[in-house]
Amino acid sequence: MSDIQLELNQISKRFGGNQAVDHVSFSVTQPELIGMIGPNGAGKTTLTNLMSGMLKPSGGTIYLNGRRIDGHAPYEVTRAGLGRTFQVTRALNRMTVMENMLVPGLAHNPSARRDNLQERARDILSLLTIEHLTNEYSRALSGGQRKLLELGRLLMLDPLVIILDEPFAGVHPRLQETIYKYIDRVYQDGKAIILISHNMGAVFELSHRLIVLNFGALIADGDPQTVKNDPAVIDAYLGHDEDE
Amino acid sequence: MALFKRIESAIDGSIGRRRLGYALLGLVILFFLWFPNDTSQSNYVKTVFISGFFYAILSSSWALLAGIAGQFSFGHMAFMGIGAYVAGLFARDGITFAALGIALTPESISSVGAIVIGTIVAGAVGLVIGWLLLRLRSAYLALFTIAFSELFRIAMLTEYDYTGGSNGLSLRPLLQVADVDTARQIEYYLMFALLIVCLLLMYRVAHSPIGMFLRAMREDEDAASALGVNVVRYKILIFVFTSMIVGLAGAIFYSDIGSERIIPEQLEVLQMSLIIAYAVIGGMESLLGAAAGAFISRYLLEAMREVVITLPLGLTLPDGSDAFVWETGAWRFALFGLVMVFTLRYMRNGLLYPILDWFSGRDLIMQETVSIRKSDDDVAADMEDSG
Amino acid sequence: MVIEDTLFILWLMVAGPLWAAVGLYLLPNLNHNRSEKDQLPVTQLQIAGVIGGFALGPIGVGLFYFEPHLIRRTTIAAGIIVTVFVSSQVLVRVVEPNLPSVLWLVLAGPLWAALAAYFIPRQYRMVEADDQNVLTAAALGGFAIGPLIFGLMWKHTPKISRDWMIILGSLGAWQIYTVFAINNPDNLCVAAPFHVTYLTQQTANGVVIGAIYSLMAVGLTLIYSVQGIVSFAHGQLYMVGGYFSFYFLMFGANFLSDLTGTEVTINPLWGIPVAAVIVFVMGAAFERAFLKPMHDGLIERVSEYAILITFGFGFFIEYTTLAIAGPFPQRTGRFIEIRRFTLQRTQITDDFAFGPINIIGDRVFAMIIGIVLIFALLYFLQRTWTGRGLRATSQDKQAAAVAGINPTNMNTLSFALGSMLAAMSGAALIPIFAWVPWVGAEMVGRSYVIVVLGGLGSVPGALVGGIIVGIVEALGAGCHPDPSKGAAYKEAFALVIFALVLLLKPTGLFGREQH
Repeated sequence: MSDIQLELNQISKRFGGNQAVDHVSFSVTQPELIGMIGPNGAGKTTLTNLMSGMLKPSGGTIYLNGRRIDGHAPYEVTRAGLGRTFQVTRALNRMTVMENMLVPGLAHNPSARRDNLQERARDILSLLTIEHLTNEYSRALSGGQRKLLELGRLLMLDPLVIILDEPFAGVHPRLQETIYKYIDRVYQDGKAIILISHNMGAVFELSHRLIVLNFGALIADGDPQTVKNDPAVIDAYLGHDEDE
Repeated sequence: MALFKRIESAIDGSIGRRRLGYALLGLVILFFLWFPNDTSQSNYVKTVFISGFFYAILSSSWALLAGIAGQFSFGHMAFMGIGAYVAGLFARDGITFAALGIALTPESISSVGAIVIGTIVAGAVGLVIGWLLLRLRSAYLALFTIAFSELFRIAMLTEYDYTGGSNGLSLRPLLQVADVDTARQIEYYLMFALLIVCLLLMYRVAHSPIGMFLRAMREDEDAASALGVNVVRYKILIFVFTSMIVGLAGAIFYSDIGSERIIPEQLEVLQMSLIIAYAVIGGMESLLGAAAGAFISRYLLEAMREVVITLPLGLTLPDGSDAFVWETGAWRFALFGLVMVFTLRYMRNGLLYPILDWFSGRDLIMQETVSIRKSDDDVAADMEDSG
Repeated sequence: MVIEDTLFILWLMVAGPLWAAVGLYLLPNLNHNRSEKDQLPVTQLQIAGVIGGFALGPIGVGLFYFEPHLIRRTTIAAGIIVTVFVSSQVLVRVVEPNLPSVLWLVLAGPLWAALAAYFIPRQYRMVEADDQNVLTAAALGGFAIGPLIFGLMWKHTPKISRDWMIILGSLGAWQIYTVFAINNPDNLCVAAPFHVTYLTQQTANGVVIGAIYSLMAVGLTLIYSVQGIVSFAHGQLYMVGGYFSFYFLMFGANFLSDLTGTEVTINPLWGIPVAAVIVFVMGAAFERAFLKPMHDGLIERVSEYAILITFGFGFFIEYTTLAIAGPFPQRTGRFIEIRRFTLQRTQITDDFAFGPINIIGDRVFAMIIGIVLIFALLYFLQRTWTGRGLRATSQDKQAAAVAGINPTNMNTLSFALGSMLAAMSGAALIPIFAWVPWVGAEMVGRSYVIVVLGGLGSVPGALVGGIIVGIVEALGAGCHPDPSKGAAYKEAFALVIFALVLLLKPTGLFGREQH
């Protein structure tokens, strides 16, 4: 095991009277492939937004690679080395695939030579099997291809930790395989990945560790087999029986 | 269509579109440089050209702000007005900071100094407004900038003790040339040079990494910031930059270049709507398109003041004249509005941008327009086919 | 139409008591539809009914009936106004004009407001307190009580209720008025009790004109709530509504005069339905041709397209009208003329003498039209099938579609109805204002202020917002030390409110909170 890359301490978030994330703590080492699951409304997306700086936590701290990142603007978090995708894919529609790749590259290093960046972008695109689309407008991409593009953009940032929010949602099985391969490849490269998905099969197959959220709180954290048999987790998914 | 395709391939095969485009652009610039030497042209036409250049700067900078960066501001004319009014007031009254012991008398300020200060103040106000606008998006942003612009106009109209009210304010002349013809000639070149400089500056910004960040922001602010783009900084930056450009243009144009005084009427929403209409017709996402749109629209609107249709075959009207004369009045603007609406609906990229794009040889618009979103199933089927 | 000016007496003796009785009877009925715990005390409802009915007639009764939560707020507001006025009057007599008070108002107040607005929400987030409305309260508080707001909010981070905002806001208002009063003791708005009538006169003018403004704003808010877009052609539709009425009246009168051989004039009231029908059709056609593609997914960057396309539409209408009607001011005849009885003689005038207060009769008439139409719209939205369809679409498009409502038709209907309301306010105002093709530009700015103040998408918000804007404009213009500048700054007062609301509380007074 290597160093701790991402560390959450007692992170919480309130919206009005609603406790969306309730004192969640965990840490991520590198390389690691973590699945994050939980029923709808468990706070997965809110937690992602908190980690990526889209929301400011109401309490708690987040450290990335030894630097405190909670409350920092999203772009600072990104530059510190935490990349994320969105649940609903956000391709920059009226820019070409190559431009989509260049934005993070240039944001990371505005003085970088464009040919170098383009070369790197092409390598990543060919890894993702969408090299033939380099000069297409990203609005022309299919849902699965957009997911791939979004993943590719992340690699341009060379992040330490990647959060993938529902990378398989609404994607054709054939393209899902490509995304599987991609995730595995990135993991082999030594990055930490947090995978959020409703696709239990994929999560159990890919991840080496599972984090389960329910009602904003972390209810289980451990290897998939243990978590699978945890009564609290079963309870969260099957619902609480009133008669008990 | 077939003919067009043949011409297209003939050009591609010989000199290439890009080179042809540059050649044509060079010719256009040469024409503008030669034009004031054409003694058959009246000073009136030159004045139309000068104001055409001025509006080209306004429209193209709005295109940068709204079309490329996606900030739909209606306050553009107000920043132009700030530049002009501040330069004018400063050159007339000077400024005193009693507390600091600094007193600048009007005599100690050159007209260039006044213009510089007008530009800086326009940029500073742009900084404040840009910062306030961070919280607002699309319709709210448009409404806030309208409110700002109207407040400024009303203040300029009402504080007539300082600003001259509806009579306007005359700025200190930038040039001291007695002969009208020579003066026009110099003014013409000055404004043309300003247009070229502004366009080059804006082109430089739009084609630098910043331009790419601005477009990314326009497409999706959250996604851009998740990719490491400092959205706040670039939003404010583009606001300050465009405010300074229009502030500079306003301060120079009203320094007796267009022989006009800056009047509050210039700051009305209606004037702003003209700027927007020029940009839309030229192509909102292209600096050169918007500039050309503004110049051509302005020229046509002037030329269409009176439409004369000479009757053929020696026919005469009942009153004995052989030409039908139509004072177009407001109809030309009505027609212009109609063109704008239909352009928006059916030619999203404007009427001129597609032409410019064709010359660039990249066919971006064509590609973008025909690109149709594929479904995952099709993609998967393609993948099966290819193995 | 000639109306006898015995209205003041009639109101005091007949209409006031009548509406008070209606209020007394109607308001307690509200409790029938409410659950046990939501019930309001019957006495409170009865008092509100009597006072609202007597003072404001159908406006009071109707407003309280449709929006019962306004009862408490209106009571508070009335109390605040009286307190502000009385205390300032006392202070004016005690305190000499002085510079520090002005400096506090224009320098220290905004400074503390900015500091509080910057730091206090951070503190709330730090201690994980509920930070809803904290920004607004902190800014208001910083302005009203300076550093003391830190003492109130920093340590205990109390939950901010509406009462907080009302108290802090009225403290701020009190300061503005008091400092103004102290430093301008001779101003017409201050030198009371002698000139109480002047203030009341200004306020009454404001209420009357504000109710007319509302009608136009309601159209804007209706379009926004269903389609989610702001129509930038609204001012021009208002303007063109006035012209349709004008031409209908002119040609209609000529036609009838020719037919009958005598001089015939048509009451401008008839122009309103004509303008309404024409603009309804115009709005529907425009929506189908240019806005529908937007909802069909044929357009990218929808919100910007909506701004530009409606803007272009307005541009086209404005210049077409200018080309046809010319730039010269036009005006139709009056709605009503008033026969006034005095001891000496009977005279025909154009204003009501309502006790010591004079109000132009046509404005009152237009106000009544405006209020009747707004309540008709509220009835339509809440009690009819189509109206409920509109509301359902505005709340959840997909759910509405599942329930069998065609969202495409609802979109068209909302734009056509909204445009129609603008045209009707235009037709209602052309007897009052000189009409030129650019009259819409000024008016539409005002309706943006109203809808943002009331909350985009809220119909009662538009009514209240309209009246507030009317009053602020009338008082601002009437109380400005230099009357000619005051009139010129009339619009500016509303625009300042607008900018502040956008920055501090973009959801407005009645808007839906978005989270």
